[in-house]
This record gives sequence, structure tokens and C-alpha cells, in this order.
Amino acid sequence: MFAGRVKNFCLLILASLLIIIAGGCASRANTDKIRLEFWTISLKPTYNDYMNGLIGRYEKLHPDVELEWIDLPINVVMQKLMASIAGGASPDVVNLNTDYALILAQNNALVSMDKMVPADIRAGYFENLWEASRWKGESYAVPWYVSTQLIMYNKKIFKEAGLPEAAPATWDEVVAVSKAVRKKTGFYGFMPAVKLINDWRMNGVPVLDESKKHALFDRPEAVAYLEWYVNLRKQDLIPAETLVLGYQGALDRYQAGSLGMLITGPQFLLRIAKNAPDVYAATAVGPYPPGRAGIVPVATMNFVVPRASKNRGKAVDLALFLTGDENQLEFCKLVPLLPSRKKAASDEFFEKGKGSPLEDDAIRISVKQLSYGRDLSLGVKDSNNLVRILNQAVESAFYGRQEPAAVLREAAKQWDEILGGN
Amino acid sequence: MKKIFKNTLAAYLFLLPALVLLVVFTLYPMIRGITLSFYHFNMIQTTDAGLPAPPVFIGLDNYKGIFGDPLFFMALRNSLLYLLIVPVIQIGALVIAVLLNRKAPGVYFMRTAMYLPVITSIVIVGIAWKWLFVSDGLLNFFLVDKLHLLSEPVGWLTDRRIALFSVMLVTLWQGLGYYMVLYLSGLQAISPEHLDAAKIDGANHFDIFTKIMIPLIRPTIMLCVIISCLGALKVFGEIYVMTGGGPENSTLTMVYYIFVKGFNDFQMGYASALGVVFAFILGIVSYINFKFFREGGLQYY
Amino acid sequence: MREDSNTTDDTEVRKIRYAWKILFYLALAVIGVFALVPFVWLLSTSLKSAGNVFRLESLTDLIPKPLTLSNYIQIWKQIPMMTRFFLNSFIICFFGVFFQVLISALAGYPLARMEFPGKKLIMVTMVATLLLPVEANLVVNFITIRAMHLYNTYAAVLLPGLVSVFGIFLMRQSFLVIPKDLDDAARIDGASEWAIWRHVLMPLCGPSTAVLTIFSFVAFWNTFMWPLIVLKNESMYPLTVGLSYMANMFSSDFRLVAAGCLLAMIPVVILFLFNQRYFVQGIQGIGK
Repeated sequence: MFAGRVKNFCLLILASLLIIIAGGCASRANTDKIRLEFWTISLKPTYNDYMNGLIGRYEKLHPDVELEWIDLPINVVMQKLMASIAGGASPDVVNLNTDYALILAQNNALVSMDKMVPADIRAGYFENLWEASRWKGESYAVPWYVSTQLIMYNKKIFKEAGLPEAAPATWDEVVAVSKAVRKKTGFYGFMPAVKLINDWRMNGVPVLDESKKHALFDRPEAVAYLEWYVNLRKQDLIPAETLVLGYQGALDRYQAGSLGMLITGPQFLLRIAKNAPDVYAATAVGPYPPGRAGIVPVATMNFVVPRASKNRGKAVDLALFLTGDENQLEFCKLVPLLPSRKKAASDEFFEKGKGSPLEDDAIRISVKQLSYGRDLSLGVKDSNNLVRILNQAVESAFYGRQEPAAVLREAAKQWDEILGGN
Repeated sequence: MKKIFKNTLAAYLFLLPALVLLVVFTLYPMIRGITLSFYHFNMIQTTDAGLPAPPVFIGLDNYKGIFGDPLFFMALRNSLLYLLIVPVIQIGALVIAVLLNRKAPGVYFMRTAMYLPVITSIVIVGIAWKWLFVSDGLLNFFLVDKLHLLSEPVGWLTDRRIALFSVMLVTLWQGLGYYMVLYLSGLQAISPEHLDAAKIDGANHFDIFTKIMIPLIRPTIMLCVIISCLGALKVFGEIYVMTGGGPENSTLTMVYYIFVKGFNDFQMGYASALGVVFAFILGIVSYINFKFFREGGLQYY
Repeated sequence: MREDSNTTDDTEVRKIRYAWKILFYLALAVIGVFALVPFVWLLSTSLKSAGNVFRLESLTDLIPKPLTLSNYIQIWKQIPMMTRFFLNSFIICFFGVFFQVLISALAGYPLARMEFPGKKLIMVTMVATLLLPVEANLVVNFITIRAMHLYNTYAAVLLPGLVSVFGIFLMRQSFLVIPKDLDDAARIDGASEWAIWRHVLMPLCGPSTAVLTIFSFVAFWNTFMWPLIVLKNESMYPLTVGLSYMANMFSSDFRLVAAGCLLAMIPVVILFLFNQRYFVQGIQGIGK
């Protein structure tokens, strides 16, 4: 009886060992090289060739360095980063959007790029992008690829609605077009991603006072922007899902051919072309109407270097290499995106295009917008929490439960408490 | 005496692998979590040297914060409301299991059909159901345009009075197959003689169901109800992929809130405290369950 | 049914039976539609070659024309590692299911049929672990895995999921309903506890084992976040992670996503069909 038990336990242990070994095969090769681990978001396997080319070139330039590229789906990046930093296994370079870069910077988790990058190299990046990740006077991210938003519109729907084949140039025109589309075709004209902070900043409405301790958006001039959305909903000019399904919802609707206009970055043309070729064929693009402050929002992807990296200097160097002029330009030729560096952006490619009329249009417009584009992230501590409070207020007003002025007054009060003003 | 010792040793040998793994990967992180609930701990915070910043002891501050946090009460309310799904799933799954516990054409197919939702990854569940739920989506298309059951489209995910129930519908969709399988296996353990004897005595279908089947699969029912209660209170995936807690926090549930606090706001200490408070509430619900079933005459437990 | 019934009674009974049958299938149809609607859309999308996948103006839009399997082939073209991802998932599931069922069956036995000091404490502790949300364990477990030098191994993916309190209770419950005289008889014959477990009781736990097998297979098959956190070699990623490769930062072809999802479900469906026979028929005759 005992023998049988021992035999079985041995078997169990043996099998356990087996799986450990099976996994362990892939363990590290022994070299004296410096290993740098860098993370990107959702580029594998489509952009393997491009990335492996970069890695090869970098390793050739720096024979003492071995690069390890890890690509992650966007919804796992922050979790893995948290676990890795807490577990003492931090990556050296990480691809993050500006919001997350700012949150990490506020928690003292990132290396200051203003300190690490020489001024002459810094000057090569668009100032507005470099400054987007500014916290307490220092920037914490190296901007990589960026995109400005455009208005894509469905020519077929426009025609049905009796509209001229042109994108609306102002927000009033956007509303007018939506009215026509809704009335004549039954489709919605557009489905905005409601980001009041962007709207306010685009139009020069102050969100916070100088000290960044008081919220100022309870003033009538700020309330007007919330009222704008609420009225659109009241007139049934934007769908009820606007707040819940947001960006993805708008894209799905546009791809289904049941949305007149889509406000989005040029890179999404690729997605539309694949999922809805008929809609792609009927799509034309126009510029994003700027706000009263004469600016448009820009979305930036950055590289950051965690303080927990064991090779900060090398890591920053890698981030600069990855965002170098030539490397960015090569990437922009693959995806309709814009570079964060002035020299790359001035390349004739962005004028000439690559022979796909729609994408070329999009890129041409988009690159022009770059000069008056801003990353509109707020750059205050606890911004997640603040945004959540604001969103809740927007929802209460949007679904008609409370008056816009009242919800914003309440939200401003809560912001003040968090920001430390009174 | 020696026999008791030998017996105990044997019992623990059987339990050894389970206990070791449970202690290392479940109990230990939980105890860490409970201690962290007395700290302010931001997981991404780093010292100037690049090391993780140590947690700061703040006593009961996290707990005090919870009882002044309106979102906590909102989340708690929603999680408790989610318990409504339990009787619906359990009765539905049991009825379906009984229906499918026979040899008839189509039964095998139906069992598989019922099980498909269980094996579908939650991401796809989210995509597919959001597509069904949009205001001019398939569900409204049928209810309003085809069947004329409703006069105007329902805001399945946009009406704060309805959104939570829409998410529950998805839970129901996934849960029916899961519990059906458990009930089927329970029903199969009933020996056919039992049922034949009852039939000979002239019992009708309903009597067989209530007087023979239900008492015999009581342990299964209890297991399912407890698991299902805990599952409902701890609902996360559906919320994560479908509503993100909105609109107006009407689908904000406890575990989702804990997740937001821990992984979006990086307030691990506060999230841990939320977890501890919530565990107490889960404990109470589970205790009531046990008690209910025991007093219902369940001799095994 | 009744031997003494005359012919008119017989047709009456037959009519009632017929009505019941219609009702039965009507119920099945309603339930079936509810369960299957999302899959109809997925299947239809995955079989479409061109055209708009999001538009649905009438039900006929669901019928793909022309119908094609090219999306399923395209998956391999776009993601050459797909076969490897499948293999990894099978490795993870094989060991995961084997150990989870074994550990649950081992632990369920003493909890069901033995009295020993500490039993109550263990059971209460196990239930208590169900009360705290597991989402919070992620970071601590990552640190533990690194301390054990298991980072980037299959073992790291498996270990935290190997013990399932639900599984233990499921097995315990199936041990509970087996009559006590069976093992008492074996014990009188001088069988050890191990032999009783292995040769007397386990063969009677077929249905529960089958159920647990498929539940744990599904759990390991669908695991997504944890493997990404403890693995860094792409060549070790499971299928779920591989599927996320079909949507990159800038484009995603929904036809491929749908095809991939359905493809990923096939092994689980096969296992279910196979197991269903077992847990539905395997038990018959045991009660005798």
C-alpha cells in the first residue's frame, strides 16, 4: 500500500518537474551584454518586420546591448507594468499614451526626459508634444507617433441628405449637417467622443485657475459646452449610446454605413478599409474644425523610461533611437500617422503621399493640423478621479436627470476638495 | 490512539497538494491584502533610487474613507441587486437540465448549444452583446419593428434603470449552460429504479420533479446556489467588457470598483480595504445560504 | 403505457403525448434561439468574404454571399505562430486539467469521508478564500512566481490556478453521496485509504470528474491576463493571447476575429461532446 502511494507521488512530482523544465527551456542565454527590455502596444505581428529591422540596426550600432521586445495588448500594459515594477523586474522602455505617462510621472515612477535628453536633441521634437507630459516643470516622455483628428464623412449619406460633398468647416456646420442627415436619411450625423476638458481647452475656456487648485468650469461659458451636447441629445441628433459606447461605438456605426461623419485619426482608415470596403469607398475626409483658441487636440504615443530601470541612460538612448527621424518616417509610411519630430514631418512624403488618394488626403490634412495641435491632457494629480467625477456629471446632464449648470457646480466643488483649494 | 493518528496523517496526505497551493497562491496574497488595507500603498510609486516605494501605515483611514465614499454604497447596492439573477439562473438551469435529461432527438445538440456561451471568451461576449443591445440593434429591431411588443426602442445599456438588468441578461445567458451541466450530472446520479418505482406508483411528472428529483439533488442545488450567489456578487467580466460601470455608475459593482481603485487609480491600500469590507458582506450572504439549506433538512452538511 | 387500455384511450394518450412533445420542442427552440443568436452573427461574419460585416438591414444580410472559408485560412497566413499558440494552449490545459482534477479529487476525499482534527478549520478557510476577489492577488502572485524563479515558464501560468475550491467541493459532494458501506466493506478486507480512494470510490465519481474536467479545461483555455503577465516569450503564449494579435493598434479585420474566436472554441466543444457522453451514460448501472 505504501509503495503504491510513493509511486504515485513520485509520478506527480516528476510530472511537475517536466512542465517546469518544458517552460524553462526558453530561459535566458548567458551573455555579458546589457539587456534592455522594451514594451510596445499591439504591434505584433503586423509590424514585426519594421520593429525587427529597428532592433537589428540598434544592436549593430550598440554591440554591447541586447534588446528584448515585448508587445502587449493595450488593456494589459498597466497591470503588467505595475506587477513588474513592484516585483523588481521593470522594463527599461515602455510605450504609453500621455495620460498614463503623466500618472506615472506624478508617482515619481519615471525618469525626467528634460534632465536626460540634451537640449539640441529635445529641440528636434515638436514643442507642444514634448511639453504634453510636463509635470512640475519637467517632461517625462519622448513623443513617438501622433495623430490629429479628422472628419471622415460618408459621401453616399451626404448625397441622400442633399448635402454638398464637403466636410463641415465649423462645429455649427457639423450640427447643421447632422440635422439634415437625421431628417432625410434617419441615420445619425455624428457620434462625438465627449471629452469636455478637450472642448474647454480647445476653446480657451479655463478649466483650472492659475494655482491649479480651483476648478473654474462652473462658469456659464464652460457650462455652454455641456449644454451643447445635452441639446444635441434632446433633439435626437446624437445617439443615446454616445456616452456608453464612445469611440468604438462610433466606429462600428460608421462602418455599418449608418453614421454620416466619424471624427477620428487617419490611422482608422485602415480598419474601415478592411471591415467595410463599401463604406471606405464612399468616404472622404476633411479637417477637424478648430476651437476658438485656434487649436485642435492631438493624441500622442510616447516612450517612457521607468525609474526602476537598471540602465536608465541606455534606455533613454534607445527611446531616442526608436523615435529618430528616419525610423519614424519609415513607420509613417506603413501607417497613416504623423511623426513627433520636425524634420521627419517636413519630409516630402507627407505632401506627395503614397498613391492611395484617401489616405494621402488624410495625411496631408493631418500633418497641417499638427502645427496647431495640442495634447490637451490636464496634467494634474489624481486626474483619473477628477475625470471620473466630471464624466458622472456629464452623464447626469446628458440623460436629462439634472441641469448642466447644477451638475458642473457640484463637480467643481468635488474637484476643489481633491485639488486642495476651497 | 494510534489509529486516530494514522487516520489524520492519511487525511493530511490527501490534502497536502491542495493545501500547499492554496496557502501560497491564495491565502498568502489575501493576508497581504488584509494587512495592506491599513496602509497607503501606491504600487507604481518609486523612490529616487528606482525601488518600489514602501507602503505607509495609516491605521483605519482607508476604512473611514470607505464609509464616506458614495461610490462604495452605489457599488454595494448594485452588487446586492445582482443577486436577483440567482433564482432566475438556478430555476432556469434546473428546468432545462430536467428537459434535457432524456433520450430524445435534438437533446445532444441542445446541450451543446446551451454550453456554447459558457466557453465563449468574455471579450467576444462583450462585442456580440453590445452589438445586440445598441438602440437600433437587433434586439430592438425585433421587439419594436418585427414583433411590435414595444412602441419605442429600449436603451438597454444607456438607461440607468435598465443597464444593470441588461448586463444580468448576459450573465444569465452565460450561466444557464454552466449550471445546467452541474444539474445534469446531479440528475444522472439518480438511479433509474427510483424513478421507475415512482412511475409505477402513478406519480405524475411534476410530482417526480418536486418529490424525488429535487430532494435527491439537493447537495448539487446548494453548491450551485452558493457558487452562483458568490458569482453574482463578484460579477466583473461582463461589466468590464460592456459598460465600464456606466451610465451614471448604475452598473458599478463592487469588484469592478475594487479593480478601478487598484489598477486605474493605483490605490492598492484602499482597494484592499474595499475587498475586506466586501468579503465580510459575502461572508454574511454565504452564511445565510448555509443556514437556509441546513434548516431545509440537508443532512450531509 | 397501460396494458388494459382500449383503442380510444390509446389515441387519447397518444394525443397528449404528442402535445407534450410539441411543447417540449417549442421550449427547446426558444431556449436554443436565446443561446445561439450571438453565434449566428459570429458564424455569418466569419464566413463572409467581402462587404460590410456591421450592417444588418434584414435577416438575409446574415447569410454570407459568397460563402467562403478563406478567413480561417487567412488566420494562419497573418499569424504564422497560430499552430504554436494552439499547442501551448493544449500543453497548459493538459497539465492544468490533470492536476486540478487530481488535486480536487484527492482533497475532496478526506473532507467527505474522514474525521480528523482541523477538518472544520480547513473547510471554513477554503470557503473564506472564495470571499475575497482574486483580481487583487495578481501582483502578489507575480512577486511569488519571481521569487520561485518560475518567471517565463508554463509552471508560472499553471500554479496559481491549479487548486480550485469549487473543484474540491464538487468532488467532495460526489464522494458524499456514495453509500458508506462500500468503503467499509473494502476497509474490512484490509484495503488502505489510498486503495479505497483509487479503486473503490474514484470509479464511482465519473460524472463529477467529467464535469470538473470540462470546467477546468474552459478556465485554462480562456485564461488571458495572467499568462501575459508571467510570460515574456511569444513562443509560449496561449491561444487567447494569439487571438489578440488579430487586432493590432491600427487595424482589425472583424471577419478574422470572428473566425478566430470560433476556431478557438472547437477544442472545447469536442471535449464537451466527448465528456457529455461520459457523464450522461457512464453512471448508469452504478446505482444497482
